[in-house]
Amino acid sequence: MPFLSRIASTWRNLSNKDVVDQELTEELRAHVDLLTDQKIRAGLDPAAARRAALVEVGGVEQVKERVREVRMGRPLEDLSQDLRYALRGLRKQRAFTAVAVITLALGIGANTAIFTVINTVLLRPLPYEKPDELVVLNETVSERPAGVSYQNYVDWRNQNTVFENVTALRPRESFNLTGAGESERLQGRLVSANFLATLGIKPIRGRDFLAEDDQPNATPVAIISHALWQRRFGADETIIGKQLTLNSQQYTVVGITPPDFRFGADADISIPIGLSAERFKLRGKDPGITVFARLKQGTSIDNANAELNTIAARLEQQYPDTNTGRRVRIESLRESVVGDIRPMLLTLLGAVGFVLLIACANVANLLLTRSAGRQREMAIRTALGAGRMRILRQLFTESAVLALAGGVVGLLLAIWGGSVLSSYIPEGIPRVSELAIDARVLAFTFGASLLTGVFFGLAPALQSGKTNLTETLKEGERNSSTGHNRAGKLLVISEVALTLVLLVGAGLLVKSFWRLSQVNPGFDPQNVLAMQISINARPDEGPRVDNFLTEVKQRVKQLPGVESVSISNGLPFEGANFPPIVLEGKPAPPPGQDPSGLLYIVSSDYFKTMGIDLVRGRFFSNEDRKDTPQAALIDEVFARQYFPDEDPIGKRFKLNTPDAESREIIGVVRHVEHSSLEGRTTNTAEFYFNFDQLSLATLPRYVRRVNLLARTTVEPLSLAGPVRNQISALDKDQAVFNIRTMEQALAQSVAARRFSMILLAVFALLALILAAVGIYGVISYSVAQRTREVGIRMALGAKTIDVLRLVMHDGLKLVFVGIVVGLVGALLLTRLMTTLLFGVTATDALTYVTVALGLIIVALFACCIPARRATKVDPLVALRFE
Amino acid sequence: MKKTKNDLLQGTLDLLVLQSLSLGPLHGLGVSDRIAQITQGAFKVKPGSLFPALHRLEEAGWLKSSWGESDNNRRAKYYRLTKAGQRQLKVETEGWQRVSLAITNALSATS
Repeated sequence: MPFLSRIASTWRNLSNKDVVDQELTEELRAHVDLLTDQKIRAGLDPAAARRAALVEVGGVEQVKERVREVRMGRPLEDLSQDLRYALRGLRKQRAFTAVAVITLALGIGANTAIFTVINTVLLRPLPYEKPDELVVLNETVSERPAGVSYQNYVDWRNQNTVFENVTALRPRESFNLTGAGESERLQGRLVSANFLATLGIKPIRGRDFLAEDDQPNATPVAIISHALWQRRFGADETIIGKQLTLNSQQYTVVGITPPDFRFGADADISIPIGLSAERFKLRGKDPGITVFARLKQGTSIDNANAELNTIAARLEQQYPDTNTGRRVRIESLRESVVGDIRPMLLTLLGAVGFVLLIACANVANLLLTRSAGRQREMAIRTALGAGRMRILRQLFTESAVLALAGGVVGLLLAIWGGSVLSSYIPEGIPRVSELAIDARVLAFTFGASLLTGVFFGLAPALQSGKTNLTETLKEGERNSSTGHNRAGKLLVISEVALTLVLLVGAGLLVKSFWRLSQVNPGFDPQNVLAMQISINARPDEGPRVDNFLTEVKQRVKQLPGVESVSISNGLPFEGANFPPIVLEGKPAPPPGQDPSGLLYIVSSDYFKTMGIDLVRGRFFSNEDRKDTPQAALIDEVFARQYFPDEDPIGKRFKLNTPDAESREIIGVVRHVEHSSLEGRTTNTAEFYFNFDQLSLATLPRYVRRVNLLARTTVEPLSLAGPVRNQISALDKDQAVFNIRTMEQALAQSVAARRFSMILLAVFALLALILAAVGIYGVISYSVAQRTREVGIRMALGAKTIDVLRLVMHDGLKLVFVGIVVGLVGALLLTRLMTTLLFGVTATDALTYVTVALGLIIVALFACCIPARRATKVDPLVALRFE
Repeated sequence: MKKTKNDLLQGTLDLLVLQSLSLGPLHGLGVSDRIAQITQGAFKVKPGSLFPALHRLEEAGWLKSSWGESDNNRRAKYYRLTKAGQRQLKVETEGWQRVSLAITNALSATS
């Protein structure tokens, strides 16, 4: 068995090195003796015979070295030698090692951090059973996305043959938890009975919902989250079967979800959706539900899509009024969760990749400078019999040691940076709570480090190949460095180019963000305090609610610093209903094209409080009371869309429900961006009803979630406490939540964009610093090389300015080449980030020019320092140099 | 264990060394004399190639070495073929014959 024998030999060669070598020496000595004997027998005298034998053997030491070379374990022995040598060398040059390791750690750390996010968000499977079978069902109207109607969901569920389970979910439902302890506002969701089962999640205590629970008249039951169980109920094991008071109604706790279970928006309470089926009975209405399903095994998304659209076509014929043009679009759950974030993450990965490349270039340059000083050492080793491979291996061992050290420090940086970053990660980036460094991240970091090592190790290795032995030895300490200069120049050019691409990318994002912040939202967000209150009232409690709200408004209005107060149902960047309407005196629209708009129900001071301008007509006033004709305001978009050629004032419309009251349009106001500054709601019609005109009978329906708004003359948040005090003075059980300024609400809507912009800007800045250091290094080196030349020039009468020009010219030439290459690269690469831009094209000339100029200025400084040093050269010293 | 990848010359040398030891143990000088003898002086193996080959074959487990006395009472290291070495000799002989036959055929075909 050659294999086992080889292992044994390897062990023997490594562990008994001296004995093995001793034996070899003896064997060869015996060989020479035997050969001498042979020659003597052939008739030579002993001295001549010995000489002849030695000549024939041809150098005992060389033979020994050749035997050693073929021995097993030789590579291992070499490796340990190389490692020891590398470590010794790196320890000796502490400054060099520190700079190289820190540079690499920054690059590798940034990559590890971003890869951790990508790994968690994009690569790891969703934390549900067989997540690849889970899909989301979206509804579209005339190809445009629309909310799913509950009634359609029921038909899809009952008629399809492609899904194992179909389930509906209404997220972000809020509940007032009262009774035992302080009243508390909880986020919850309405779900179909099979919600957890579809995901393959089992309650850790109690049971899942049953089909019987999911009926309009069933006994109300609830499943609570592990977090709520721990926090509110102190992990009480007897919680199952106990009663909870939610929104003044009793629910029996039947189960607890697992601690790590998450799905979409946070929720502490789950309630069967069927209990409130009454709310969802209109087929034409979007109740804000999400529908998802588990595909039957072996069914593709395409098959499911085809079947569901057949069902949709059938529903279209059956219910032309509501379902004309309605289709279904199915996408995988994964795509629906992470699809939006993918371009951003990939852009960031590209950015940190560039940072790492620049770090590589810097370290390569450091190594080049270092190896220039070691050319003589290498030449001597070559002369003493070290093969080219042996020297290359030595160089790569050094690079690998450096890279791995950089990797370890980088990993620590990433862990530290990750914990800092995670507190700044805005809401809306999915799966962030699952962030963790796992084996895949470690493998990535290790791989990236090794690859980095090979990459920056390449430069000095190639360099060593070019070394001309005799020349180097002859030249002594003054080594020729044209090769180094060429490599250094290439590194500067690539660093500049890479940095430029990064800076352009960051610049485009910064400009997008600036553009976004310039968008006029249609209201004045400054000095507006907003909070939510939720009032649970029985249908007959209208008068009580009316009194309560009137009292709240009056009390808050009297607080010092409050200018005006308003109540609203529906708020920009918060949410509003989107009901269909009927325009009176207009021909009925074709099926599926019912007019609709965002409905805000607001009390009369809303426009003053929010700072929304009047275009024509009048605002609501105190003259509009419950006993005066119902009035409505519309926005510019409404007017343009539904009354293109006529004056809307005086026209009438009503909600498209059987018992809706007709209202007269009394004014037109400015359009308000409803959910994003990016123009997604720029063309959505909006209209306003007067809160003060709601009948006492309908009032309780509209106060389950109302906003209290106050325009202030002082810092709005300073009034949060006083306002809350006034409310609890009126009713101590009244929960007040979601307190913020409208400015904060606006900022929240762009938080994710802001976060990624800041990250990219940080990476670009890091790249810029690394590149500046790199340029500085290369120019410094070439200046040092030219000390003698500069000395001669100055001795011959060159002025300071001439020397400065000489050095700067060399440096800037490289920078300009780099910038040209970078501009081309940026033009090609920024096209990939078009989806991330707003109000600026990927080829925005101003950004490119600004960034290029900025880079030139930084490069100028980087060249300037060594150039100035060159001018300080004393010709006498320089000529004596070396 | 797969046959290690040898270039043609190294393979030839290994074959000759194994063949030279097939009749009985020899020391290094004996091996090179025997090779010269059986190839009628066509191959003269120098120590710089011989000893690396001997050590390599020993590490592969095909040879075994031991110290012994030479004819004229000198201490010398003797190499002998192991069982695995005999099998390897057979394998390499067959391989060589196949190659040489193929080459011979190829050369006669072109002429």
